Amino acid sequence: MKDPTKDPCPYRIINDTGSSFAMGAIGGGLFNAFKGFHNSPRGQKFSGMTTAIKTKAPISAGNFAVWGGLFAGVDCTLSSIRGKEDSWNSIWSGAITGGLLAMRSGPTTACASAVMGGVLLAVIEGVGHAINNASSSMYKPQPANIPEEDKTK
Amino acid sequence: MSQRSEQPQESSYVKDVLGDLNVDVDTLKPINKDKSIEYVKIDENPLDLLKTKEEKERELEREKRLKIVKSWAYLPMKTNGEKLLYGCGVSYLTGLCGGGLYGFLKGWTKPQPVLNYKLRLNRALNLSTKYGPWAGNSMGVLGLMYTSFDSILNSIRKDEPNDYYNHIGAGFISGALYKSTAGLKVATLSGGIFAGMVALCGLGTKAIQETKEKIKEKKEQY
Repeated sequence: MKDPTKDPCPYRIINDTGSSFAMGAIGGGLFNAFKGFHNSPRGQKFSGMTTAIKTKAPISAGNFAVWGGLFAGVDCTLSSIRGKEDSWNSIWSGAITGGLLAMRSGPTTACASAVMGGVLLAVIEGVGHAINNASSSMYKPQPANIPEEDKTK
Repeated sequence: MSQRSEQPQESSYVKDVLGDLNVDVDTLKPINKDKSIEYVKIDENPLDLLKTKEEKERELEREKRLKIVKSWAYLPMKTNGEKLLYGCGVSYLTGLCGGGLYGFLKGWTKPQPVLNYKLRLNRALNLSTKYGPWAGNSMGVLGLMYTSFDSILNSIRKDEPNDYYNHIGAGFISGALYKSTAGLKVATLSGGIFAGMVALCGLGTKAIQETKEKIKEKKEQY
């Protein structure tokens, strides 16, 4: 079964990379703008803000993009191997991505971050399912209104 | 029957709705057969290697039956949001791969006093991890700005949507904004360079299209 809300698989990697990059860039930009403005001394607030955005927003965007792209790639490979697209795919791919990105800092850290990634994706998928159930129960199929039989004829 | 017609919900038929329409075959303009419809093709499986033989044959048969002339669309970009996301992703990935490759080659070909394979690989990997994310981040930010300014300009200049001047203007604004902290001169220079690159891309695609049409005309002549 294919998920109609997402793009088809090889394109999804690019789309997910782009969306996570955009999220990281805009979110990191706003966060670092506030932080740089707050932390710089009086008289240099604006220049501090711009340097904070310039130096730190692209880095957070890149980190986000690596996470999203790797996640989408693992998701696509898992779905092509298993032949179906469901929530387990994304949970497992979250765990694998978390493990892969923390691989260089030792096996225990990698395992911990893999579990963290899996739990995070499980929570996201669970919330999505809950919202989906709640919104779809509003439009339950109702029986048709059958008109009464015409007895005059 | 009289009772039924008094009911508020009267059943309507297609004939009642479309009965007033005067449909004449001659008045309907047929599709120009010389220039058959051009479909934009977005394949679910763009890699030809992964397709089975049956799938390929079925596709070819379908194209022959429907007389489809298709132009390959590389990415399913329809709305502005999709354009932004795909543009961002493509620019980030090309920056990452290109920067990584450049750094790797630079580290690999650097002259060294003692020939040592391990040290050479280490240097190459170090430089590739240094250049790759840098190029990827810069390209991604540029792509994000370019696509967003492009859609903003498109929505402002509603008279001529998808005009190529929109792309060039978006290129200039994003290039200038990217280097805006380095001074006015550098900003205008970088904006001009970026706009020039966009314009060159447009001229190149136009030239390729024209040559393709010329080749088609020559083939039809023979």
